[in-house]
Amino acid sequence: MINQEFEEVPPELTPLREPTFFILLALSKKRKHGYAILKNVETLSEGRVILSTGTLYGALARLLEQRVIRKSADDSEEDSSGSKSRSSITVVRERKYYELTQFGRRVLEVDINRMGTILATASRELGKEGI
Amino acid sequence: MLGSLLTRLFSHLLKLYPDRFLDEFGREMRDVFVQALSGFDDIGTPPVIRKLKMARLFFREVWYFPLAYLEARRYQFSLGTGEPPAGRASYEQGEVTTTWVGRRASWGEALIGALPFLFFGLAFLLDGITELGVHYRPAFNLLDGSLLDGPLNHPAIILTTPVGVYVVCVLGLLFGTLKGFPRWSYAYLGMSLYFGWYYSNGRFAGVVYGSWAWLPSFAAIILGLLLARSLQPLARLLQGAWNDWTRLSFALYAFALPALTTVFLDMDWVATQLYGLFFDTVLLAAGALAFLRSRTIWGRVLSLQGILLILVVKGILGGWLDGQFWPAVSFTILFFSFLLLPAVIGLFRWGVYALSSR
Repeated sequence: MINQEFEEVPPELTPLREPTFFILLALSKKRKHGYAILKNVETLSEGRVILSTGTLYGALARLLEQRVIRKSADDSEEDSSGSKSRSSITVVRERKYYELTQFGRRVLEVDINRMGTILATASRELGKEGI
Repeated sequence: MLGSLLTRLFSHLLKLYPDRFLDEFGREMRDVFVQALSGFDDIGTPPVIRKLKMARLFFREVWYFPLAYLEARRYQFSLGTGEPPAGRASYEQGEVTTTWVGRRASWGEALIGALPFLFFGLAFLLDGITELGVHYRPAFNLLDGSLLDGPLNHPAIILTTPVGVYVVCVLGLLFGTLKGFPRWSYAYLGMSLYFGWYYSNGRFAGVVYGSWAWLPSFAAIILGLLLARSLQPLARLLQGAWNDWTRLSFALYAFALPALTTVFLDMDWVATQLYGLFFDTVLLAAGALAFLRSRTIWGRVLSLQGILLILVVKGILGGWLDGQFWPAVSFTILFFSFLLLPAVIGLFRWGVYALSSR
């Protein structure tokens, strides 16, 4: 099944760069907005990958263009800081969410598979002794 | 305090991103930055540490800006040259749309862009016609800078014709700065630069202006920025030149008419020179109109270079009449290459995209 899907993913899309990989991984469970992606990437990478907003949105723009992710909006009453407002004066702003497309799932799966293959090969070659 | 300062600085940093990228993601990026800043507000963190973390967050944005900018450029490039989304139309009543390469200027904008050529031609033609027709001598000799005899030789009213044109160009430059340097404004920019250069090199009515000659153009831009209360027009000037190098060619093209006039006319007018100036004015203004109405880079290059080609032919034909054959031809051929100099930016831009999209 994986091999079949592998053929559908253009070869230039993989291997994914580390930030891109973690962004897709962050979106694998459910859709997220920009800040949630930023924090999730940091958590998933155990603090190794800390994205600037410029890097994050540059990557999101590329992934949208490649149709690996899609954007959806969600109306919510929020103040300008993005947190739920407690005052009566509120600004209605559409919050943008990003989610993996089916194609995006295949891309992520292919890359995980690729890394799995590399890991399996390395384990087989090195055996229990290690390097 | 620090949070609002950093947010303000970040907003300025955001303005440097390409327009369409900003249309799509600018607001979200700002929100995410604000949320990330407020993420340090947890109880227990000493204020000094919190401030350091906030500063580090901002400097991370600055540090990764060049790469993020290239990615944003690549994204904008991939979108093609269609009409921009309406989301940014709030800036200066939609003048932002003129920064797009693929947009054709309206007839009104095209006429505004051709106006400095027409005004220059008209002013100098009137100067010549007045001298030839009613034997009025201008108060100032353009070439040697001497005050001439006559009733209008008071220092306060010297240099009437060229100063008048310079004033119009500077006003156009001010207006262009306020509007975020749309394509038509490059004609005013070019002609103002020419006059700045011209007056900084010589003695005029016994006065050496030197670097002060640049002051009106410089002041117009500063005043424009102050009135706009933003550095955005300057960013748009750079963006415009980066997206469409022919804008700089157009600014250089604006040198042609004053250069032809001040180099080849000695201000002792004869009728054939007036015909020549009339012809050059109409031709160069038509080139400006064609440039501004063109939608593609090639169309714009051909508009400007085509006009210069006609000027070469005119120079060859005119050579038999006024004996200025070689100067006119060599001047216009030199101009061909001069106008193509900004193409280096286009090549560099192409190289950047070719590398960044790999």
